[in-house]
Amino acid sequence: MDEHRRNCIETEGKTVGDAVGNALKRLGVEEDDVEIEVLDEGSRGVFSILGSRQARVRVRLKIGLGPSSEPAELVRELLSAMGFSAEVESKDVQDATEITIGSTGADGLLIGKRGETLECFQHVVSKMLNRNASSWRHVIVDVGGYRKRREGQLMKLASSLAERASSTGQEVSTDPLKASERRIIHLALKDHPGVRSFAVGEGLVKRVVIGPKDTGRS
Amino acid sequence: MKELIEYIAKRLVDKPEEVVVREITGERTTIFELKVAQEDLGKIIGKHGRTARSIRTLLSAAATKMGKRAVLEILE
Repeated sequence: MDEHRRNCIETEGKTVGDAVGNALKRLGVEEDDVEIEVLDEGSRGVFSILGSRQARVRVRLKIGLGPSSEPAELVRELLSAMGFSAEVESKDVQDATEITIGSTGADGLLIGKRGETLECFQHVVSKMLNRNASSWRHVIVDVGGYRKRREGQLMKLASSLAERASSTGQEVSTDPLKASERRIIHLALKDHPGVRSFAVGEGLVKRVVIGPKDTGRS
Repeated sequence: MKELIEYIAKRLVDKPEEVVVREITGERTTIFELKVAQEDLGKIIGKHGRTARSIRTLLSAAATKMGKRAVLEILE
């Protein structure tokens, strides 16, 4: 119970700013380390005496967070909690945050079958970074250049399937792919003169079918 | 691994002080019971259980790295 109390305190002050300042002093942290809830904005009162009320705030420590929830730092901490260690870099590109993890020495484990574990890692990181955010940021996590490699593979796959479709006149299909992966195939074949690509399947398990352009299917 | 679950859970919920993880060590498999505030349950489970599944996958990866097996149970 004591621990709970240390994570969350209520303080008073002349203004909200003062109250927050008092809380930060008591907790010994910076403003970035806490979440602030204003309980009472206080009031100066009529002649600064009559009816004046202290401002009250509740300040909650973002538990375990270091100086900030900077993306690279968060991913480093998450990796180390999982028993991995690696270089981590992050950069913002338009409305997305790209996080690049160097080689961990056990990349396969972190990537998982068909990138499944990496997808889960990315989902959790995205949820953590977007918590309480006013606008949603897209988060992309890559490990040891996996996504780049996979993109190359998929583009190769697209052109070999396209070749097969146009030489045999038959439709060919990929294995089930994630939306981001299907997009790579569609884009690779967008301007192909002989074939067209479309998705087949329900929900999250869809395949890309590549067929000759003149099959007349809609 | 307990730290991993705590780390993730506390950063997903609104009430991190109510996150409790209990570790039940078995012969081969360790079970982790995660308890969060009632109103935070949805944040841990996610749309179509996606967040819960993701946490379980990360736990498995961490366990495998240590040559162990781990199961996460989310208490309601």
